[in-house]
Amino acid sequence: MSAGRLRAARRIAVKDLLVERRSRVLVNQVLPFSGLVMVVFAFALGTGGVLERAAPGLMWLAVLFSTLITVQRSFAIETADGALESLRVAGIDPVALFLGKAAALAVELIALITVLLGLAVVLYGAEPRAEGVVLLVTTAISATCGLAALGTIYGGLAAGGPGRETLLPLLILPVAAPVLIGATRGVEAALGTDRTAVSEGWPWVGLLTVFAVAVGVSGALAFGTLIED
Amino acid sequence: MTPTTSPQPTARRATGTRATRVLGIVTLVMLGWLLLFGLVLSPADIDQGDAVRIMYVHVPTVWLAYLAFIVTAVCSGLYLFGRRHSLGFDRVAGASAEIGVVFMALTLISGSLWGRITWGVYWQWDARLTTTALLFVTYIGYLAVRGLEGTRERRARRSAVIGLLAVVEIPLVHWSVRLWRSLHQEATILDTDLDVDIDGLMLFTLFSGVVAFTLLFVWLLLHRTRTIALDDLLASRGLDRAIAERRSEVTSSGSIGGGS
Amino acid sequence: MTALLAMRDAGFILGAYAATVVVIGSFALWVLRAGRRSGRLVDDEEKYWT
Repeated sequence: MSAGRLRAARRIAVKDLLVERRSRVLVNQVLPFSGLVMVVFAFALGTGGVLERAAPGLMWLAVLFSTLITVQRSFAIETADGALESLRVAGIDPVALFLGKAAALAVELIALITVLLGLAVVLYGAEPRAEGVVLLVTTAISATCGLAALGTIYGGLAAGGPGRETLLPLLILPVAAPVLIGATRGVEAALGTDRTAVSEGWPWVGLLTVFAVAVGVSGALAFGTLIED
Repeated sequence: MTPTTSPQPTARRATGTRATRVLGIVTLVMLGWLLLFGLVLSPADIDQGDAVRIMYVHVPTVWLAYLAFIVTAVCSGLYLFGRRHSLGFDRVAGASAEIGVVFMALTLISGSLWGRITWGVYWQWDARLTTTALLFVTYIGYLAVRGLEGTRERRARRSAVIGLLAVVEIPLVHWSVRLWRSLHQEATILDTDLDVDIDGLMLFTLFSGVVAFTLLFVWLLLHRTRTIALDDLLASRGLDRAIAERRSEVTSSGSIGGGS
Repeated sequence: MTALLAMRDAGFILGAYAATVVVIGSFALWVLRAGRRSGRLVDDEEKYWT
C-alpha cells in the first residue's frame, strides 16, 4: 500500500464527502428516510416489549436500507456526468478509487448510525450501558466498514444505469446477511437486550472484522475490472 | 461466404450430437433406476420411515446445485485470470448458473417437504438451510447481472466478479448463521444432520441418485453452453448487421452527422 | 402402486418426486427447445460441435 495510493484514496474520499456536503443528499433525503423507517417499524410491530427487544435489529435494518439508497445516489452522480469514466481514464488507481469511495461511504454510514442509535433510544426505549460502549462503537465501525465495502463494489456494478437500480438490493442483501446478523448481535450484547452479556458481543465483532477485511480486499482487487469499459 | 438466408437443403442441427444423445439416454435410464429404487425397492428407514425416500432426490439436487456453483466459480476465475480471457469459460459459467438455480430451487422444495414430515415444519433457520436459500438468491442476482445490457466481454467480466465474490461471501454467510443459531441451541431439538443408519441398499440408491444427477448435469451443461454460444453469435451478428445498415444509411443520404 | 399411496405422508413424498420430475422434465424440454430454435438460425459450419 504505497503512500501515493493512500493519498489518492484520501483525495477521492474527500471529494465524495465534499459532493455530499454540497448536495446534502445524506442529510436531506437519506436521514429522513431512515428515521421514517424506524417510525414505520413501530407501526408494524406495535409498541412495548417487541420494539425494545428488536431495537438493535431494526436499527441495522434501517441502516441497510439507507445504504442501498446512498449507494444508488452516489454512483448515479458519478455516471450521470461521466465522472467515473473520467477518473478511470485519468489513470486513477482503481484500488485507490475503491478505498476512497468506500471510506467516504463508511463515514456517511457512521454518521447515520449515530443518529439512528439516538432514535432507537428515543423511539424504542433502548438503553445503552456504560460497560457496553466500547463494544457498541467497535461493532458500529466494523459493521459500517463491511457495508461500505459491499456498497462500493456492487454500486460500481449495478448502480447508476437504467434498469440497474432494482438490481442493487437483490445483489447486496444476501451478501449483507453476515453484517446484519453480526451487527445486531453485537449491539444486543452492548445494550444488554435479553440479558446478553457484553462479553458475548466480541465474537461478533470478530466476524464483522473478518467480513470487512475479506470484502474490502476482494473489492479493491475487483474494482478495476468492474469499472473497466 | 454463403449468406445465411439462402435456402438450405437439409435442416440445420440443434445442440445435440451423438455423444449427447447417448449421454441423454443413459441419464434417463439412471433416473428411472433411481425412481424405482427410491420409491419402491429400497426399504423405509427405521427412524424416519418412508420420509427417507425424499432424501434420494434431495441429496442429489443439493450435490448438483453446489457442483454447479463450483463450476460457475471456477469458470469465472478461469475467464478473469486466464491470459486469453476466453469467452467459452464465461458461457459455461452462465450455463452452469442457470442449471444451479433450477436445482437449488428443487433442493429447497424437496428439503422443505422432508422437513415438514420429519420436523413438522417446512423451514428452519439453521446454517445449512439459510445459506442454501441465500445462495439461491445470489445465483438469481448473478443471472440478473448476466442479463444486463452490454458487450459479451462486459457481461463476462461483471458476472465473473459476482461469481467469485460469492465464493468469498458464502462461507462468511454460513459461519455467521451457524454462530447465530448456536446461541439458541435449538439445533439440538431439530437436528438437521442426516442421522440415518445407512443400510446397504439405501446407500446404493443414494449413490445411483448422485451418479444419475451428475450425468444429467453434464448433459444439461453441454446443451445450454452450446445454445448460449449460438445466441452470442446471433447477437453479435445482429449488431454487425445493424452497424452495416446504419453505415449504408449514412452514405446513401449523403450527409454525415445531420440527423439523430 | 397402492403400497406407495399407503405410505405415511405419501402426499409429501410423492409430491417431492413429482416436483422433481416435473421441474427437471420441463427444464430439459426448455433447454432442448431453446437449442433447436437458436440452432435453426445459424449455419452448421459455425457450430463448434458439428
